[in-house]
Amino acid sequence: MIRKILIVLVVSICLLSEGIAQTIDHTRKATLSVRATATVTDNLQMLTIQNINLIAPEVRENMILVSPMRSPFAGLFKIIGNPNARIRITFLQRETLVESNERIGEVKAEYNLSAAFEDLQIQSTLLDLGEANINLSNKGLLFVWLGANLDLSAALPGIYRSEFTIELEYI
Amino acid sequence: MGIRATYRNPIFSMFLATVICFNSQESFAQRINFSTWTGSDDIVLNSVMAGPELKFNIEQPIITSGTTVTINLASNQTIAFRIEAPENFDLTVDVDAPLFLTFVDDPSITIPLQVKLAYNNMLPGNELAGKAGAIELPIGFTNVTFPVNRRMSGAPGPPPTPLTGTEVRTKSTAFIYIYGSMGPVPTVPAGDYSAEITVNVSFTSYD
Repeated sequence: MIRKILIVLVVSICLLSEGIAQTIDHTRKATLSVRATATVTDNLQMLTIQNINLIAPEVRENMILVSPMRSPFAGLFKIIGNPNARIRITFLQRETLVESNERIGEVKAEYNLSAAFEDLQIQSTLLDLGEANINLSNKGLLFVWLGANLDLSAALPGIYRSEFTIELEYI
Repeated sequence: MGIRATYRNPIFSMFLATVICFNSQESFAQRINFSTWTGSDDIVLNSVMAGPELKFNIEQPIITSGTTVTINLASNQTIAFRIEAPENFDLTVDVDAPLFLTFVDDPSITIPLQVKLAYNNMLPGNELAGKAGAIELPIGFTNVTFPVNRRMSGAPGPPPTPLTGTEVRTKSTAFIYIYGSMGPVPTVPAGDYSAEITVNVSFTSYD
């Protein structure tokens, strides 16, 4: 009697385990994953904080000298962009201004720029003439000072106008 | 005690009935599944380049608001995968790609992303040669079924014979390409955006 019960138990266990064995699946699939990435950059912005003042400095030997690194009369721009991005600054280096009414006298102007990560003119360094490649700070900022040397030896009294051009682009 | 005596025993009969009741949920008839069986050979999916990543900034270094960047099939940024699988079988490639690149610092800020897929199953020598004759799926399609190696001409051959012993089925190579476009970039904060694309390759079973 007990033997029969044992046989029935063994058979039932076999049936159960067979049911489990049939659920094994075959994996015939391969998977890989890929990342898509993009870094978005802010458009470069330039704010004029202070215009260059060429009236206040005194004339010495027919020259007006405004140093971008030292003079309080230097112009100041703030450039805002992508942190640590490298930018190219292209600017007008030299020009001759002609008196706007009589067109006789002329003023020779030479511009130069200096730049620093902080608004500290004394720490700024002179940029290459005409075209400079420089990094923005880790906050995406750059302060640029504009200085000028004006040669007034050929100038006559009158009105002289000019527009300083500066271009910025990411490189 | 004979068999007849055993079944007359009411306690044993009840026990047997109980066992059958429990077993009835687990036991079922033979089922035969005629799905594709390729033997022990698996699909091998390899990236042609190390660390595959769809980098939009290499295609266009400066991405600002309003720009759209497209990586074409011919671009060097296109990601190629080599699939090695037993020949004469059909493969299903399924690309699971999100519709957006997500801002790393804030997942609610997104940029539209459109992932495209192309394949070449004409036995190109390498992934670069394969780009020339690759078949591009229309926009929006992320799922395709194709034979591992395309028949150049003629009627299809007989179905593959079952393998015996240690026989190994000849493998063939196909390439798949992943590329696409992002944008136009809405007014979003500057920073890093990313998305995870998953590529699944499996044998087509036609179940």
